[in-house]
Amino acid sequence: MQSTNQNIIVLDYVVIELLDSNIMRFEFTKDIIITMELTSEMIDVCKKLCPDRLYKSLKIIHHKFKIEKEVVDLFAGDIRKEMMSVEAVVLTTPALRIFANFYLRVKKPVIKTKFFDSEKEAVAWLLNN
Amino acid sequence: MDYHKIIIVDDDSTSVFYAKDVLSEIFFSGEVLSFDKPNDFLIYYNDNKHLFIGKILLLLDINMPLKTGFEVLIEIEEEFDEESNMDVIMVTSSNLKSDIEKASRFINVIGYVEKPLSKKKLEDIFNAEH
Repeated sequence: MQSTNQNIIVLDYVVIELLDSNIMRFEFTKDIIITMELTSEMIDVCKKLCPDRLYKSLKIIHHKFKIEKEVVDLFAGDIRKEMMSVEAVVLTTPALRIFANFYLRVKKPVIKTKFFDSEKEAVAWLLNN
Repeated sequence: MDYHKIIIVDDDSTSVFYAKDVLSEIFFSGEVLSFDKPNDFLIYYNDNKHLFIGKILLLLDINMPLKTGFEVLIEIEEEFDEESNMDVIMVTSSNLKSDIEKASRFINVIGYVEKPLSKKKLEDIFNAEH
């Protein structure tokens, strides 16, 4: 884990930054399969950057992105509500958008979640929610 | 898969056979219907939509001679919202980027698979292994 300043933590596969308005920005920097191990690592980073309060999650995904079933199931439960209040996800490929449709319709996220094509729209939505 | 009914719309009888075989392989116990003409499906859908109970999965081919899968989706798109009970998987021989892009714009499309449909491809969708 490398830290460049107190609000940014750079991991091998993601840059996590706490922005103004309590927005936690995750930018995934390469193709990845999200495992339980990586999930735990990211949860630890979020707790370090934003202890004792809920954040608004902003996820930016440009690359191939797979999520292990156990992680999807974990985040379909209450743990998500304990960490974040709302989530915006920016997806830049059609395959990811189809996955987003699946996620919204079949997995039914426990917090308010919306998918976007651009980061600008996603941030505007987060600021209003 | 908690679907009450699965509807296959495909003009190719071999693909329909494969799809039904996969559904029996996963022990799908609900009703399975198939239509080889998109218009027959649309007539059935419009006549029966108010009677549908539970969730429905539509396995929809893209390239059909009389009407494409996208044209079918456009005709029923008005019914699509986050609460609608129909999920759609595009099952197609086309892996054109433009088709995947187009499919991704319909909010009820939850999967896009290349023919032939297989148990593994269906499981990959429902296990969220994208």
